[in-house]
Amino acid sequence: MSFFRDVIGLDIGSRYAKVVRAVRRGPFTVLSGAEEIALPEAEEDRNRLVRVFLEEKGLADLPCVIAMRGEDMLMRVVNTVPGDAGSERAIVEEQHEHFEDLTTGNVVSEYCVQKNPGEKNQIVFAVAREDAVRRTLDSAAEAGLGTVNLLPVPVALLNAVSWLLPSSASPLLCIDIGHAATELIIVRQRKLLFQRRFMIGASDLQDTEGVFSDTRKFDQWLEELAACISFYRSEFSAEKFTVSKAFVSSRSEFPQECAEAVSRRVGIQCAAFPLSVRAPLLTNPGRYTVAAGLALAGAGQNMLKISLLPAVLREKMVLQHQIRYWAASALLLISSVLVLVLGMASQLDNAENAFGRRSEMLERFRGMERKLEQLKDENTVLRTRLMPLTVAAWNAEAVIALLDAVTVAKDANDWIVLIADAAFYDHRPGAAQNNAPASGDGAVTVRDALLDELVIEGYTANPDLSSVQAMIEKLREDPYILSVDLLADDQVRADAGRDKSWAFAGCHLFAIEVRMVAP
Amino acid sequence: MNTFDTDNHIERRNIAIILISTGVICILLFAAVLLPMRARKNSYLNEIVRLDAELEPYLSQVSEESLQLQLDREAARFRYYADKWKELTALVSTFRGVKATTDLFSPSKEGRIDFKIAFFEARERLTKKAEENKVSLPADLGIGETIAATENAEIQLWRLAAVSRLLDAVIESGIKNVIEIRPLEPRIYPLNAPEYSAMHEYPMLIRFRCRYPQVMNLIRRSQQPGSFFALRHIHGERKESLTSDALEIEAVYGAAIFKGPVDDILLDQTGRDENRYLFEGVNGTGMNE
Repeated sequence: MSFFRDVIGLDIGSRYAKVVRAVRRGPFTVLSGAEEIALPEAEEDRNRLVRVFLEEKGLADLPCVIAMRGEDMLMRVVNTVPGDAGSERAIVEEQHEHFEDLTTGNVVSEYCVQKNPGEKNQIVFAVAREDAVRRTLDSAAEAGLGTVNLLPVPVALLNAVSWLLPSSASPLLCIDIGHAATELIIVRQRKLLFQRRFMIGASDLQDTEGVFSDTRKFDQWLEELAACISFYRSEFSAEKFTVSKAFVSSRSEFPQECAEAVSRRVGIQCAAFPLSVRAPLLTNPGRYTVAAGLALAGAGQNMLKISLLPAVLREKMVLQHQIRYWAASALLLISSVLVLVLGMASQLDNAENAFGRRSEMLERFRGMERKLEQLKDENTVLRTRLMPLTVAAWNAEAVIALLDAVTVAKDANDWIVLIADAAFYDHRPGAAQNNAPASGDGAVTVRDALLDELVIEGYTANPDLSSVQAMIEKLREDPYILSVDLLADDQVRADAGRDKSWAFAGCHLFAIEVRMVAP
Repeated sequence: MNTFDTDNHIERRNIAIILISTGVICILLFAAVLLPMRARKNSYLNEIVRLDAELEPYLSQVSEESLQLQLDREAARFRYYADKWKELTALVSTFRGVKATTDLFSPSKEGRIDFKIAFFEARERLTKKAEENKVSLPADLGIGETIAATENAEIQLWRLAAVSRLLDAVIESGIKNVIEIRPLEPRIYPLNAPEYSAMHEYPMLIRFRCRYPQVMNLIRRSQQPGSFFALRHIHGERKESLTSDALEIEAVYGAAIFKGPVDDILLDQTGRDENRYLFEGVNGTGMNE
């Protein structure tokens, strides 16, 4: 059975309706909001009053656990042979037949096995007529209750005793004095050992003001109690089943002398239902024992999984309660998928941006490369276009540069007698000079027009041409001169007139070929 | 009177609706949205891998910065060429700035009379100038006043203009003895452009005697704007003795003109008149500014 985080236990008795609220936070359960209201005689008025009462307390919308009173229900605890599953099934079937024989009409039954390792197990049966169950549920529906469970009163008492009272190794007796009847249970280690009900209640024992006053009825009540205890003792004679304490819960305060009388009669120390450290907000636990037990069952602190609510109804209530969680889970799942979609959208956006950046970068690089190639091509064209002009201006500068360099480099005792470009070196003055370009259309190449090869003739007094060598070395250092060397002897021009003119000096002719650095 | 409804079909149906709706929505989101987005993302990732491979050479060897540096260098080179072009066209064009008449250069026969007149004027002027400077010039300026039917008047005029300018430079350089001056065949230097953009040169062979400083004067003067001549050949020889500084120089100088618009190095080729030159014309005495 699932539990509810916020649930009320509603004990609708003959004269009063009592409610206790249980709020569960994790492993902790807090009991609070213990209230009661007196009920009128008429059924419709009772239901309406309960509804109004709960609405005033703000508890009307909470799930509700209600009790099935003993007059409409039977409970039985049957011991079994330990370890014999077959006997358990046989007992269940036997009890079911027995109950069907006892009642007319359909029944609602439920059982639960209490396992005691090493000892006998108990099978707890609860049976109620179906029409009684339906009547109870219909009343609850009229009162606008969100009923989520229908428990027998002894089960509620078992929950209350197990949770509110300190744990005890020996069994505890709980006596709940209702308006018309008294329920008693014996609990050992949070398991129901024994349960009885007899028809003497507060209406018999108390006056109109709720004071225990009728001693004769009290004595009858005491005898009934003693008979129940005696029967228990006959069934559970072992020492370990000896009841150590008895607690009485009732709407009115149970007088001390009554408690002492109980103690004397049944030999069990008796007291009113004490305050519980586990429910500090429950200031009168004796009055609200059943309601507390019902609320604890709704909060999942159910010691005995017995419910008289039909399975279909239980499922209905669970589903009604769960639907909000199903809806929340669905929303969460859809939200998670949407988060995935958003994440994927973000990744897609990032990938698109990364793609865009790279495309842009690549296009930029390629654009720059194209532009660079274009510029290089243009510059190549321009350099070619510029060359004729460059050469035209360069030729005279080359001659001037060579003359300046020779002036500095030559020995003072050497003479320079000729400077000519290589093509004009052997030119005879006055000879025809066509100067026509090789091509018929008049176009010339830049190479043809370049004066980068020049010849210098001179005379030196040094037969070893050492001064010429020195001059050549110096000329080689000039940045405008690419190479310098003596002209090959077979290329020196033959000029008888020159030789004759300079024969008197007794000097030696030298000819140097100079190649200038081209533009 | 309310009765407790024991039928849980509605609750089960509602929960089933929630579950089925959730399932349908989730499946739709997966199938219609998430999976297509994932496919697109994977497609982009594949493209990114491809692009990274294409980018790798650029990033490992060539950075955007180095490409930009290269671009800047080439652009600077272009500007250098453009500036050099302006400088050299201004320098090299022998007749730049000289006012002339474009109508002069028509292919018709009427150009010969202009040559005759120009030749007479040039000879008169140069003879006078030579006398004033005590310079010996060859007769007929090396050209002669005759013009044959097969000779192009335009070319003859350019030759005359070139000779006239060169002799002016020779006289102004202090050279006293011009032995010979003779025009040679014109030359064309293509400018790597369509035909009508070229540098036309009118070379002349000149032979003279002078001393070293005068020839250096002439060479330097021929490098100045407005009196530029391209030196194409030179043969300079000390002729006499060790103590004499007399040099006999024989040189080929070329006077250049540009055909076609050459103001911009890119030589804008659109809608140009074939006969339009850099300067507007030439006449006998109007060769100078």
